[in-house]
Amino acid sequence: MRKMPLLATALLLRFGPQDDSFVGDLAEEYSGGRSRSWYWRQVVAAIVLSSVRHIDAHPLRTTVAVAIGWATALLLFTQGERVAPALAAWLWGWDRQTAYQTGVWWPFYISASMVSYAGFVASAVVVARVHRRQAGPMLMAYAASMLVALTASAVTVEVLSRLWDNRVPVPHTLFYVVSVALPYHWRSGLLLAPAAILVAGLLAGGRPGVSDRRRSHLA
Amino acid sequence: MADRFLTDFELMVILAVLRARDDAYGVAIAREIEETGGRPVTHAAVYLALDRMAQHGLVTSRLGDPTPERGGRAKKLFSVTPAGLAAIRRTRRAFMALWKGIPELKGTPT
Repeated sequence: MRKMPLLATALLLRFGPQDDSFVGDLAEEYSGGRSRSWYWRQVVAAIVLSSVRHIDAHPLRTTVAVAIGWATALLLFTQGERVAPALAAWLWGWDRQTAYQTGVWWPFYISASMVSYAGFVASAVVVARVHRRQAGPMLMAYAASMLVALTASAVTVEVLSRLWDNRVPVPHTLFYVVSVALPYHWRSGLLLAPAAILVAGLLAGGRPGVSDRRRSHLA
Repeated sequence: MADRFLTDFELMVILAVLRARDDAYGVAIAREIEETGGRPVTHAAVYLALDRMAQHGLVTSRLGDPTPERGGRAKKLFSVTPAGLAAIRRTRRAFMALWKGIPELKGTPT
């Protein structure tokens, strides 16, 4: 049997329909000569369609999962203003007073990014653990909500910056969410934050049991 | 669910199940739709439609034997129930009734 693409298969088993027969169908087609790109297309379609279906069928569960993710992240980010400067001081001997004089802020920005991504990862782990059997769709919903929030906040900050001459007050807790989508991060967070949530959830949730996969059919 | 109509995609899938007869599993159904129906599909979309129709009692499924080229995974074989056949006929009647009397659609289908 031709070996299936590892990453795509891992994503399928974690976030996809959790149906052994469906995975077997893709394996049979791939063994029969279908291309890697065909396999990836099928996997992406399966993940998106099954997640949308699950979210649509369980709106309350999805709302709870998204709320848990955001609550965890924001709770961690309340500590950001303490942790990020301490991390910068520990790693690079940076302090805020000196930074105001020298204008050297990069150690803080890097530390703040670490805090941001630690929050995204930790919240994804909590969502995946709480919703172990439906971790895939719940993480997809949480990652999608993060993408929407980051996009909206990036646009808002951009607009307000123009209106208020670059003086936009961002609450400290929200700074760790918003900052990764700002230009000085090359707006990389729009891609990396949802990706970090999905990867962390993939690693944290473990693989669903075979009995679980047989029990649920694209649900 | 006596009065349920099928969507155009569900109609294609359920007809493909009937055409594939005793070997109506995901791969065969998708192939039937692509080769006979001329419509490209993803396997996930086919499974979703089948799952939806199974929930409405229009199709049933049973597991076949695992095979090596499937990584030891069993086929899920589908068959159409009497309620499924009734839904096909009902949907066809609805389509035909709508079809009739439209001058632009008169003549041989192309």
